[in-house]
Amino acid sequence: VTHLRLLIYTDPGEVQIFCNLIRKDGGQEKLTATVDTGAEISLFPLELLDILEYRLGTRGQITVDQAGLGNQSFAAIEVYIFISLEDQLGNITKPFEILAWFAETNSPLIGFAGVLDLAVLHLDMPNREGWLEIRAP
Amino acid sequence: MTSRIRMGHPHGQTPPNVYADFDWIRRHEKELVEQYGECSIIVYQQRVLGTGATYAAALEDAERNLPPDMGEVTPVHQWLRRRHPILRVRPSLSQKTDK
Repeated sequence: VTHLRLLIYTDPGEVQIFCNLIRKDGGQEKLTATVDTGAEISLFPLELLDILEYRLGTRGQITVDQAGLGNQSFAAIEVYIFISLEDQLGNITKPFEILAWFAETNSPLIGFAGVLDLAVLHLDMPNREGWLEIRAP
Repeated sequence: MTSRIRMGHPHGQTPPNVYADFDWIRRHEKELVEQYGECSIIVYQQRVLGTGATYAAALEDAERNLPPDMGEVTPVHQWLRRRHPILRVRPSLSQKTDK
């Protein structure tokens, strides 16, 4: 199990995590993503597919109907990518494969499929602390 | 010409500026969005190297702005965005009719 310290922000409140996505050149692209317990699947900006190693999911291009307050639809591409998660204390997971959506968004989200599904999430907002304990496959 | 900007890193190797630069962007997001609008931004050691409508455009801008005497740099990229509230408090219809 890898214990990862999360990034806690207020005004507006947000919980972020450091991610590494495997690039076509073999390196890892570093980014921060919002930990979103309302997201079924992780979501990343579409333009990243130009530089990331990926394989298409069985459904390929999809339309996602959001059931939230917005109740909007958006187009996405469903792919498999390799991700590792890390924190500023030097804790890091091995790269592991997840199913993710790529769409016209500027807000990377870490959701349940393959990530939060495997994790224990601790969030202590009064003390501005958060941890994700994940058993990466 | 070989780029002096390195965005990809081997597994387990995180340049020392990376965590602080992401945190700096998040903490200065409002000011950065006011100055540059919603865009891609490249930051190195808490200094904006480039911006653009896309990640690729921001990288090109950063390459142009990089001082000639600077060696290889390991900046971070982030998408600047306005945070849209999903809840807005306003007088309810019943309160209006009561008046």
